[in-house]
Amino acid sequence: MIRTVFAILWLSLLAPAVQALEVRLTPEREYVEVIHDGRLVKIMRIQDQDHKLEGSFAKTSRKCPPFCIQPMEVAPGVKTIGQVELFDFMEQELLDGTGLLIDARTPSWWKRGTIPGSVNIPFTVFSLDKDDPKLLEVMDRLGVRKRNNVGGFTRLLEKTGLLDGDEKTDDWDFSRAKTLVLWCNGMWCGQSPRAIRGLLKLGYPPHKLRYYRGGMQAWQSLGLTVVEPE
Amino acid sequence: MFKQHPAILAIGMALLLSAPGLVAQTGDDYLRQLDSEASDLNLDAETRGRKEGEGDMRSAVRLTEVPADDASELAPGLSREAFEASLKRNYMGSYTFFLRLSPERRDALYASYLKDPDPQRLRDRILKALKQQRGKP
Repeated sequence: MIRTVFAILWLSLLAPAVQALEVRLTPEREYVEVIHDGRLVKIMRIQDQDHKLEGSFAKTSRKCPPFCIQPMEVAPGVKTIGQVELFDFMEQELLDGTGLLIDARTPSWWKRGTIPGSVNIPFTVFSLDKDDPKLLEVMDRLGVRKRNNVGGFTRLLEKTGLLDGDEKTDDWDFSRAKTLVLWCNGMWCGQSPRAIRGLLKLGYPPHKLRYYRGGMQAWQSLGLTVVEPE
Repeated sequence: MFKQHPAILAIGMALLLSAPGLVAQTGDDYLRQLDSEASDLNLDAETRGRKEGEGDMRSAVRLTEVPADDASELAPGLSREAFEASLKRNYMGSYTFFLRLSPERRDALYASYLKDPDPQRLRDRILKALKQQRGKP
């Protein structure tokens, strides 16, 4: 009996020490949970405070072009975000299905590891022909509807504001499009900027696009969790 | 001048094409270089989330598949059971958080929903309750 009481006491003393993390995401957050491939994944930082970054993202230099430093603003109206804003996005829009986190890299990068909660839509998809089945499938996933045979008169009314046409083009209806966060390998990576430019060319509203410029480089340097697609 | 000396034009063109960085990369070149760089890619082993309790995929919960529903509304005045079912169907993320709350907090949220069924405000309240439960401000 006494032994049991001591054991409970010991566990209760130990519990807060086990739960509290020394390396938090922010003062307010220890971790963020996201759904990745049907699983709930906890995103945390490495707790070993002596750990130094290893692997490919410890590398400082790559040939430019093509691996050139990207500007802070990828396109007018597209917000550039950092990790904290990405955590907010993960807890709100991503979890509630109104947003999508896009790893815009080619599959050869994606399969080596990605940010939890991401889906792989390579930047090359957004330069496909507007009737290409692959593009149609992706746009559907983004909440964008294809418009067929929109009459000239209807478009005229939309353009003049007599009909609701703010987020519509001749080919696409973006009125229910998801908010997208696009990322790639980091400040030296042009894949997500290309994806964003492709989306803008298709008519995607810039205010529904966000650019996580730090990408995998910044993610790794902060010791944040990555997942390897199955 | 070029008409008289076509060789100068040919040499000029050859120099221009061979100058590194001056010629725009073709799409194929770019993809080839991307693939080449990715071929020996390796991530920091510590960030892979394989350690017990740290961003662990092995202990991750496999969620029940929830069908997407375009009618993203939470009707007012639902019974507790219907409220939870509707939350699950329309707002899977918020529902996941809701399940992580203590029974008392869930009761309080259901009561708050009956008073104010606005989905956005309800989702904010769920997130706030989860943060409070985890001892965050």
